[in-house]
Amino acid sequence: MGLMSTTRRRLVWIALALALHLAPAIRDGWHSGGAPRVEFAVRVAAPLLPTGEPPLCREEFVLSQATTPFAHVSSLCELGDGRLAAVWCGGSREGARDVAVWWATRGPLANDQWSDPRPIVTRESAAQETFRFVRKLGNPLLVADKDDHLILVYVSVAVGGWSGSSLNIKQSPDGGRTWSPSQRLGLSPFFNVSELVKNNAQPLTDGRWAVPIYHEALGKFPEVLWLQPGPGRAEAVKSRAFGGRNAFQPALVALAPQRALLICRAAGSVPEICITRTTDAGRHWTAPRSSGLPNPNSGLDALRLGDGRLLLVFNDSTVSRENLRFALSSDEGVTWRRARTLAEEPGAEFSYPFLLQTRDGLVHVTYTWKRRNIRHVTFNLAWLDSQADGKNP
Amino acid sequence: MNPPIAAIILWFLVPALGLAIIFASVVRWAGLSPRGLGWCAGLVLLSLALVATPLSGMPLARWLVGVVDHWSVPSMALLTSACVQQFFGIELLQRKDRQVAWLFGALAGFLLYPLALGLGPFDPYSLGWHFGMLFASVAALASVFILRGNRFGVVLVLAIAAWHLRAVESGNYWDCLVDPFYFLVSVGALGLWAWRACAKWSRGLG
Repeated sequence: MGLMSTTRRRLVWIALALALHLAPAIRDGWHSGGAPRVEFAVRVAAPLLPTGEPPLCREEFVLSQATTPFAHVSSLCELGDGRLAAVWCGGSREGARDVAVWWATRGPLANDQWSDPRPIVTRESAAQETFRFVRKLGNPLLVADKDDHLILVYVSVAVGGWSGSSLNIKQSPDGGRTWSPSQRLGLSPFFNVSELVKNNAQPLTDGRWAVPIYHEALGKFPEVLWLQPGPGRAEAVKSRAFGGRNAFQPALVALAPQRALLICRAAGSVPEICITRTTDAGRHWTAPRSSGLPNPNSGLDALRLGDGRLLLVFNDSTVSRENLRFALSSDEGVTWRRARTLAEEPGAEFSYPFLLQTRDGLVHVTYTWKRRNIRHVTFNLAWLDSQADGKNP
Repeated sequence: MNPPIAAIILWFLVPALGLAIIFASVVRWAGLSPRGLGWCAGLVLLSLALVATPLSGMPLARWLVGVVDHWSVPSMALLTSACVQQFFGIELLQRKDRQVAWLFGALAGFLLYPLALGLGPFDPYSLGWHFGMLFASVAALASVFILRGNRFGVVLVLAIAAWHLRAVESGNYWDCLVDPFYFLVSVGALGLWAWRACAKWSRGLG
């Protein structure tokens, strides 16, 4: 009798084990890990026609006066009413406890000014909202979803340096007027460390976003965060593009529903920008290949222009961040041609550029100006094409 | 947007159970016998109060989870079992169950952490987001353990139940199965067991 009872009890537990483990299969099917099955939402490229438009280039600082001694890692997005919104890190110095994520907006007209900045995440608010100790804040990324819904992804650290980073998100339903509490994203099993973000996200056809992120613990490599924003908790999973220690901090450029590039900052002994490609929307990536352009282990950004060309902004050096230069590719990143110089000054630092093309066709770039301010440059394609130095890599 | 309630319960309960075991050891060292419901309730409540005590405005448990990030179900089960044994003398997890738990924690950690942190191109952590090899393997393991009468199989059933209840913030099944604390204690326990086995063997030779 006792033996029967024990056997029955064990069978019940086994049935429970199987039912609970296999139930997700009904909803999800079999997953072999890696990226979900998705498609990039890509604009159809319109060929560039001569418009007779005069070259336009406008430069300004986002911070009209020094709000904080240190400003770094900016990100931009276009709001529903055509205004620009920018976020960046600002405080007394990089990694200091008073570093916050700051926010400012700018109207679409030429003589509009950047608004007075205000902090939207502080170390204290992040700790309060994520229910955890937060020692410092880092890179923010701002993404404009539909209907003025904004997503802010930002880095926080509890222990150690930047390799101890975790990612968090906040969402705004009203174009940045109000923000939801921060949500911590669990993306790494070992103390949830070493996940960072810098460059812009790509929309997917199912309403999700592909956010290029990167890891820097035992390895330094690019990953993609597949983010499903929502009014409650956002859902996020990640997949690795490739391993190693040579390339990270990627810019994700979608070329077609299934094809995309990750253009990566150099981290190893070869100071060159490298590129990896997918032809199945991020499920598999090719081995990274050199772009032929140098990189002094410094941030870069890239985007696909409305006319289908790829625009890259990078420090054109193997050793310093004294300049920022544009490069263009008309063959989906196979070859690059240097274009305009954005900034150059011996001994100065210009770094961490961020690119955005707005609905009016203008291209915006923000970058860290000497670690003291955020520079915003607006230009049209006529300006970009009006001077190419012809120096091929 | 705040963390799931099941996750917050784990954040407070796991360190509280750990503290209660330490307090019980201190009480025993002082010559008293901390047995029964009264001692259990008293020491667990005292521990809960301590981990909920704000330190610079934040409860101790939240400082801790800021570093460890999450607690796994085996950690919770092993601490609960130790507490029940301490206060009531009942072994929820017997010696053989605990040995399997240490073996599982050590193997899972060695398999997961180096690869997930970038040692190699494959990321096993990605197997924990959706149904696939990890879920099927743990289902098989749990069934074998239960069939052989090992209660660690039941702990694995509780782990998948916790995943369904979203008891870890990430939503990744790996985080229900293993945490760095459990991994390190498992490695330590296995090391101790191996050292004792070696010592016994060498005494036998002598």
